Amino acid sequence: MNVILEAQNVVFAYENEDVEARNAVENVSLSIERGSFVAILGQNGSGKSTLAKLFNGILLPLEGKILVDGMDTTHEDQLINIRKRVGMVFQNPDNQLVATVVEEDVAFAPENLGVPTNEIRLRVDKALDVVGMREYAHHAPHQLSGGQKQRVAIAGILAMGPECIIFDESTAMLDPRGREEIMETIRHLNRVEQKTIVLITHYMEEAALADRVVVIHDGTIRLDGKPEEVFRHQNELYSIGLSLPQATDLIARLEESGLYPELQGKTALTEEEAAVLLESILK
Amino acid sequence: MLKDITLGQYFPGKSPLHTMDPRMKLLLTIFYIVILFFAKSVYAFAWMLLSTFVLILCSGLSFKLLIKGVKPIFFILLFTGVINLFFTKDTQDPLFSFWIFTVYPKGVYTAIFMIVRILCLVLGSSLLLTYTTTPRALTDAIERLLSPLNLLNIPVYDFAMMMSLALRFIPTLLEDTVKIMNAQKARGADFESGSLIKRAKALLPVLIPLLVTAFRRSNDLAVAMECRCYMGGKGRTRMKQLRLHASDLLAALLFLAFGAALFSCNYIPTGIRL
Amino acid sequence: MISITLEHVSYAYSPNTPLEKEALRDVSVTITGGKITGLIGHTGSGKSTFAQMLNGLLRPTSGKIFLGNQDIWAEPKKISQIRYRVGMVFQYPEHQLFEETVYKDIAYGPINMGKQGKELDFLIRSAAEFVGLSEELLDKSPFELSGGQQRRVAIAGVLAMDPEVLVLDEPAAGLDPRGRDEILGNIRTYQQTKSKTVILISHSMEDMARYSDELIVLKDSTLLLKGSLKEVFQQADIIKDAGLRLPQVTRVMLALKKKGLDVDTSVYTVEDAFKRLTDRRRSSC
Repeated sequence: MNVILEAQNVVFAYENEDVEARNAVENVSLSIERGSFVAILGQNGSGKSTLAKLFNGILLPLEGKILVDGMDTTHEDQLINIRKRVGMVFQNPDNQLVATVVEEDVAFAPENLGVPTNEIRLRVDKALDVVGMREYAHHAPHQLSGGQKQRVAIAGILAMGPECIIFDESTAMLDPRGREEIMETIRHLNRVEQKTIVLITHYMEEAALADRVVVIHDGTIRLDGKPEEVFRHQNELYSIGLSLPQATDLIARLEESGLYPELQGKTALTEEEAAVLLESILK
Repeated sequence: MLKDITLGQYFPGKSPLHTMDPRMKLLLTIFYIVILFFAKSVYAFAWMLLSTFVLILCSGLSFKLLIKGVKPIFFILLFTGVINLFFTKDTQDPLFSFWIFTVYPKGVYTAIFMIVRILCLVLGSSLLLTYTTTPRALTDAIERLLSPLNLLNIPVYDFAMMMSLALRFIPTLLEDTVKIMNAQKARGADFESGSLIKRAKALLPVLIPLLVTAFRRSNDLAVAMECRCYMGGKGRTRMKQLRLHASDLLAALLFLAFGAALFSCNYIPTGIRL
Repeated sequence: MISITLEHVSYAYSPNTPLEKEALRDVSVTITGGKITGLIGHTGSGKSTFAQMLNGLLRPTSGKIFLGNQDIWAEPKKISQIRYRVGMVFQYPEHQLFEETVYKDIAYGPINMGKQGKELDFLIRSAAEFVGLSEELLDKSPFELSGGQQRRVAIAGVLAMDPEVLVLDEPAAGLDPRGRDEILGNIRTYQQTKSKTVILISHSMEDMARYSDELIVLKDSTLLLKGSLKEVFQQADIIKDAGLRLPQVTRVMLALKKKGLDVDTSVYTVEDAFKRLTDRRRSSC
């Protein structure tokens, strides 16, 4: 099939430091299809970020294999090709911007790749357009809000021309508006720009927007499916330190109470869905 | 306190100095500094002062701003002036003397000239470079000018990258410092009173977290750069190519003329001995 | 149960320069003693400035701040005494840790206050207990702990000073749902058992609904609203105008109301909404 990222029985543990012991990955197999939007959910220390770093060769598996578009991440000569294809956006926007001017930062990756001067210009402008930051091209990063910085970071990845972008808790440090900006951008990248999206998060509201949710705990995959399927396992989710979005939670509790038989087998992922469900029943 | 540090402060603008090629600016700054040391007569100093004034006009920056920029070196100027005034010995008759100090006419001249020279030096180099050139353009210029050293296997690109990253992170780390200081103040830290040793000790709760933060940031940054295919300088291209324009050559000619004029000034006879 | 009163407080960064930036304008408000007051507002609304003035880290450009009846700037030289009485936990407080052991780090504040011996030990251990740090962690290096545990150590470092008022700026930022609930739950317990005055800053209206008694809303450097949780959340339009969103469950109810259903929109937690909807069903059956 058309798989872009694949983990085959991957095992990974950090050396000696017991601090990182929790972030290990144990025997994970997972394949992610081209063009899909997958959320990887898990609490802090569950191994979700480790998995992300394995997917573009920042970390290498101790056992098993990671294939990116068929290329093995342990083959060093393929590493640049892998990183070109799979971009990563991290948590702290300040720690991933390298230049003192926005457009120069976006140009960083294509410059590294030896792209001809004229084409860099085109790529930078296009990338800034996609994230809606063109008018800030000449600003300094520290003049921008958190959400804007993160959009610049995304543009910097887009300028490499990746097929897949992994967001490693990229919204965790943002305020609600910044988080919305980034989620908006991510949906645009997936639907309009046809990028494969892997979103690592512990915000259930964000995971609800994905096509597929993979729940990871203690380095193993616990749940995997469409958000409405995964969110039905509320007890399991609670037991591993996650929670449901309030709208989903409300519908689930009402269903469980037995007073609302109409809700049997129904799930709401967003407030709109909850409102529509309740409206049809209460009317 | 921290807010007063204006390291490599750039003032945006569109003046002739702003638009000049940074490589040319760097070379001309060096030229300018060297030339200043050849000024030996009153006329030469007057010419120097006049030229610096013209440079200020070319930068389009306000005098108020420049005076603020010179403030931090005020004490250096004063100190230099006083030292030269009181400690210059000469065979001529002294102007006056009191206690252990004797002031000669030569001392007065030297003091004035030294002050003028330092002033021109600071103003000229900051006008040409830091005030009108972005840090990024500056590191770029240094890198290109030093690029022949690459042939000797000196990693010029990596040094330039390090420099521009340092510049990028100065505001961030200053912010971190303020935050950590505030957090420790809230826990009763006192940075302002006590003996020197006590104060130095009080800084430990700031320095350690700052170091940890800086390490974390640099670690994150290294990973992020790797993800963006950073492989050092080899095979790297540029979005912005530097190109010399006719105006840059004109600037070079003007500076040469300025230098020549300054040299000539030294040969105009004056009554003042230096 | 001490209260804090602000009287016509304004604050400007770099006053009398071209860079002057007004961060708070003529704010007069009383923070009720013995309650958790939530401070909400969009980024840049002046929340952090507000918080940093409560313990004298920033001095108002004009106006007065009273801790109980005492003007905190009556004697500027004694402002450190105010800082002991009004504890402040900054965002990402784990970035301030520096000592070799957790125990020593928590001790930093109380030692600065001059505490020693048994009293010091008691303060440290009870603070650690409040934030759920187990005994065996006390001798570890704070840098070996997970991010969530480091956060607890940093909060304990302020609790150990036993302040009368506790100000917390986004204490749960970046934590996963369980971590959030634990930390905020700890703060709630602390506040209730010791009847402290707590000021809590958070972007999450869901958390505010669960943990705060009163709310202060800031917008564009001015005070927009102050009142009990219900009083403030009832003003849905004003909340929206301040660039904030009500809890998701409230938004569900508002959407239902908009669709013409007769529902009570003054529900702010899932438990509330569940109760209203099940009661409704029972009464209609």
